[in-house]
Amino acid sequence: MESLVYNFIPVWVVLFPLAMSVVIFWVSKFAERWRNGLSVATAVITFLSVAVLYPPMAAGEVIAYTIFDILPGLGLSVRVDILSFCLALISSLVWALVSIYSLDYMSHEHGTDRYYPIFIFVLGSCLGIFMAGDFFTLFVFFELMSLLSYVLVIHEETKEALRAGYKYLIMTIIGGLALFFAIVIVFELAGTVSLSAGTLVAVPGTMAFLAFISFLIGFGMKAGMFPLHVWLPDAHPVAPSPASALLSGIMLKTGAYGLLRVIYTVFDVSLVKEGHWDLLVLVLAVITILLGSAVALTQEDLKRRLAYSSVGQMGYVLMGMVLFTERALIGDIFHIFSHALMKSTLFLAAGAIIWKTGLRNINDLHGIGKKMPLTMGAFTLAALAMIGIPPLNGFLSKLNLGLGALEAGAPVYLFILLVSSLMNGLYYLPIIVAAFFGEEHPSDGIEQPEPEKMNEATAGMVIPLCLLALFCFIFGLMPGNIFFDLSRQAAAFLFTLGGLN
Amino acid sequence: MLYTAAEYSKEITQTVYTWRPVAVVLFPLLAAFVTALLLRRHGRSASLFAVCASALTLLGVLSLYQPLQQGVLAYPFYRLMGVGLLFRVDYLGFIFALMISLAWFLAMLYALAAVEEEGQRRLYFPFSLITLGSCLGVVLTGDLLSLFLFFELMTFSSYVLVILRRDTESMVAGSFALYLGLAGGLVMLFGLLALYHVAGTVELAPLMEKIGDGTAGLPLIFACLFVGFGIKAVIVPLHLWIPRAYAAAPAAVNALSSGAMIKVGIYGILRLFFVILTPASLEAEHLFIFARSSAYPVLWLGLLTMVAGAIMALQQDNIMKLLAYSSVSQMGYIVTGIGAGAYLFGLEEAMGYGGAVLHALNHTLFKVAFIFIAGMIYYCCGELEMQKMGGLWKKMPLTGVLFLIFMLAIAGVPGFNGYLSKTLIHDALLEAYRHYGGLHLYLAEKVFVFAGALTLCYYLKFFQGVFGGAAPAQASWRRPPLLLYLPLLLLLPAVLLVGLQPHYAMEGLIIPSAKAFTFEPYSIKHITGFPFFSAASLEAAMVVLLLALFLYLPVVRLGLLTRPLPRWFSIEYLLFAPLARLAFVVLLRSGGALDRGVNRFYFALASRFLNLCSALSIFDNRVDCFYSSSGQRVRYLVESFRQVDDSLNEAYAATGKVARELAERTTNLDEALDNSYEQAGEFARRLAARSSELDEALDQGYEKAGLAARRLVDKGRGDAGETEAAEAAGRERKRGLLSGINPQEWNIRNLSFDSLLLAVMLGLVIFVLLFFARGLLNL
Repeated sequence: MESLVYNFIPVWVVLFPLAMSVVIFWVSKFAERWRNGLSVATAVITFLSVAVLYPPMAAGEVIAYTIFDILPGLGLSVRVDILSFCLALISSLVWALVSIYSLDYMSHEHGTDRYYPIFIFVLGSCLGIFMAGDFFTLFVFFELMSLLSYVLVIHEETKEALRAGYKYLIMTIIGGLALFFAIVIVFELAGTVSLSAGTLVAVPGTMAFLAFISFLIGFGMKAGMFPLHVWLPDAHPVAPSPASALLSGIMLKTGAYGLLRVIYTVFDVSLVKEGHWDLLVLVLAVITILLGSAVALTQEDLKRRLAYSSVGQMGYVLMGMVLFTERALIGDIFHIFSHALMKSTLFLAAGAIIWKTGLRNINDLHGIGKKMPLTMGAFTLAALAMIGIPPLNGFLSKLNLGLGALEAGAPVYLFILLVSSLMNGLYYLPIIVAAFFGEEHPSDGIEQPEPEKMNEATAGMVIPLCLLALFCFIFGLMPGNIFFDLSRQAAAFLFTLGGLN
Repeated sequence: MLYTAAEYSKEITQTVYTWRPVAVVLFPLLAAFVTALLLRRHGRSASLFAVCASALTLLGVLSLYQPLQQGVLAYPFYRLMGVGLLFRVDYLGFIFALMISLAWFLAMLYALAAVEEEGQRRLYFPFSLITLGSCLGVVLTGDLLSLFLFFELMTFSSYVLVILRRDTESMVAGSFALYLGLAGGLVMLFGLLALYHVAGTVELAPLMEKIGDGTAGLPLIFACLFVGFGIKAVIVPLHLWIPRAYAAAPAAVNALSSGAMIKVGIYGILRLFFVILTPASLEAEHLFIFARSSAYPVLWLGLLTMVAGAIMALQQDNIMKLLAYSSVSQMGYIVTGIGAGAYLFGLEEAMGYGGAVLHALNHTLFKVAFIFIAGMIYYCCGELEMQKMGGLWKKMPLTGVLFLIFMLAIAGVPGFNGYLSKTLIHDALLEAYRHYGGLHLYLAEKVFVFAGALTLCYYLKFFQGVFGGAAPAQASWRRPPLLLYLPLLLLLPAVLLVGLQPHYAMEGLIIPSAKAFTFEPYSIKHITGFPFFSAASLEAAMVVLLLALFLYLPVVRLGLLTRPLPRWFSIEYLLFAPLARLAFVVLLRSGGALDRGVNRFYFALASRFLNLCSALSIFDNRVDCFYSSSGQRVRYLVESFRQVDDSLNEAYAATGKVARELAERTTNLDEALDNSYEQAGEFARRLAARSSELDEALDQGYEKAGLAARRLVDKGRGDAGETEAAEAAGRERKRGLLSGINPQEWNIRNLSFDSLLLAVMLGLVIFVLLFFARGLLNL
């Protein structure tokens, strides 16, 4: 079924933003308008270029070729299959919208000449991860993305940000080293780290297990898996909101993507199953889910709450990939889509509120829904999707994950999902209720003069935000749900790869 | 994926595909948006528009009745929501849709006058329309997933209705309802997904063939779905949200809760027992076992709900709370009916079922009326506490009369609608006792009668407290607008019609709905033309009334059951608060602790690592020290070597010097020797020169001597000459030897052969002389 087609779009998709970041850096010395315009144009063109790949991908084609070899079996190569396409599509889509949002959000910020080139460069390296044809290429882009996003994390350059950035950097480096270690072992065991070579490690052994653990550390670090999640709730809130949206919405997914590849192509699925390695991941995933949701409940800072919520949601993704039923995998991949849409909406909404009012604490957000109805409306929609209310996209992913858990004969995971949903409700709904129905400034007893005028952020911020929220609805209810179909195909593809059919 | 089970249902003769159910559900939702938009500018006309929309929805629901005669109405959307949405209307759905849209229309009509505050109107009209659409969606869909969608929508939109007043009390009540609803929804989702997993479909159709009676998870699935619906249906102990919500929300909302939203829960339980948990054919006798056995606890749960609700209602002083607990108690009747019906599967299931459905309908009719009355009282007096009211009979006689009529209806007095449904449920209980026997079922019937009596008691208490007695001195009062009476006057004929002409409701709605299910045909026939006014039934009703009158004095007047129970004795404090606390501790505390723990662990790890690093640096220092000290040693060694070297060098140098000196000396010596040689040479040369001079001189001497000799010879002649000559020769010799030598003559050139020969001869002579002399000397 795999037909290999030479197609230079993947290389273009990766190199174009990388090259453009240099151009943007250069241009930013002369003209701010051109810099902004170029950034948005780059992101949009990248998205369109990715979208162009849809017909061959939907037809089940695989684009794979080596650009050049460093050593036999080790080189820079490109491979786009349906899974890569899914991730690349959602990433570039969210990136394009966030780039538009950034224009207004960053207009008052310092260091924008640094922000935009890196913003675009990270897009390129992120797509590089998804389109990498082997683990070596993947590793290169992985490190590029991880290290450069440090600049996005510490953008504010406050003491807090630098501290969080330091933590991020240290843990990222540890993760990168673990990943490198794993890649070296796999290369040693299999003689190649190509993604096109089918199952690479099929024989159990200490080295294989060591490689698995190292992969788990490397990618799990990025995916915010317990107990490697500790950088996430620090790093995501301190970044500027568009960057938080991308960090939480997209960059966490690179870890999930890597683990999907590791479990379904690097290792023989039966090896993972027989060694009960999946149990390890499941236990960690369950802890991640419950811990993320529980700690989110106790957070007062809006963005910090969102960041912990991301931890919990990534737990779903980790769980879905090791249940080894096709439906769970559909839910898993669809949840990657869903979470990208939902969480970027939430972060952008939080950003719009911070931008407009400077409020970050949840207790200060009373009555904000009257001032910023569109922003809070989008927030509400995304938050309800997060809880898993039909007919939003979060429900669809939860539905499939839950059914997958049942098919795997483990209703306990469905139970965990639902407990976490309840907790999601407990920490999202009070924000919404306070925003729309809460009394403004309940502490001081002085009657407010009831202006209740709409006071939204700029259109450049509200439109991308609302569009993302609308996607949460469209890709939950509407027929012809492209993302769901893609998830279905990708799940079937991975299942065939893993030899599970 | 969803619609596979329909073929098993034999009774569904025909499916009519029509968009009407979709329109009925979507119309209020769309109207809500229009209302919201209109409300910004034209408040009054927007509310009128909303009422008209609800009236149109009611008409739309009614218009479904005609096509329903041909068969089930359905409209599927195969691709919506990833799994498909199915709208479907059968008689049961229609009955509930009717109930809901009727209650809604009346409540919104009522709200026109009752909801006065602008802020409340702005929320009430759009959100009640959304809730209407979602409630209709629940009862007009054909599978549990679609149902769930509208169910959740209802939970969220009804939240806004509960917090309409937006004071602290209503916010708390709203949160309570919201989170309980959310939890219920999730529990239901669990059951739903499990059911889907087991049966392969969640269509509202007989599924027992697909599930199989031996499925291990079936009790769990059943429990989850039951709890999910039970929270909405306010079954004890899941009723906690309703008293709070009632006390906090205005009557126009409570009417919706009571008349429609809790019925949605009942609808779900009815579907669960009489559709999902039944096999498609009567022959599969063993597949009824699960429904039958699970119905028995539900029967008792219903009885518990009845009695507990009634007792709690008796204790209330707040009339809205009293009505709330009354609703709980009435839901108990319905659940008892459902339990009894399902318990009697294969025997008289239609009786319990019919009783339950009819009671749901009846309850909507009279409970909505009660809430309107309570709301009207609040409108007029601004008060809900009975202790602060009284004597309203004089001010509101019409309301008082209406209250009495509806009280007779709810108490089950023959001639009113409550009597019919209560009779059916009561008879179902009697049938159960007749078939299965046993003391417990006998007791069940007595409990039922007791609860019925208590019902009348607390309504009498209500009447006594509000209409009887004397008005308090400083009571404020304002006249109710006529619009508030309108819904009550519309409900009155409905109550009387159902009560006096039972066959309309029975044959028009309930029996056709029962025919769609897998019921024993005999049992359906049994309730067709049921003898409601038989002597036994009338007698049973009389027993209830007499018992109520008998109980009223001790229970209400003497305060036997009206004293509030201690706070700790509530289900909330005994069960839910500890559970919530437990969940809080287990999830939040442990989660937070774990997170902090991991962080701390990392920091500890990092500090350990730093310690290790510093230890390493100490070690490094040591190594450094070692190196530097050993370096020193080496340097010292080198130094000493160098010293040795130096001394050696010096020694060499000294030796060298000595040698040089020696050499010099040697040279000197050499030179000296040279000199000496040279001198010796020169000396020798001089000697040689002298010798040659001597030689020459000798030569000359000899020559002279020769000459002299010759002269002598010549002169030979004289000695005088001779002596003189000899003396002269001698002088000459002396002079020649010492000073008379001419240096030029001592040249090698001057060495003539003669002289050489002479020298050689001389030498030979000397040699010969020496040779012989030696021998001579040796002697």
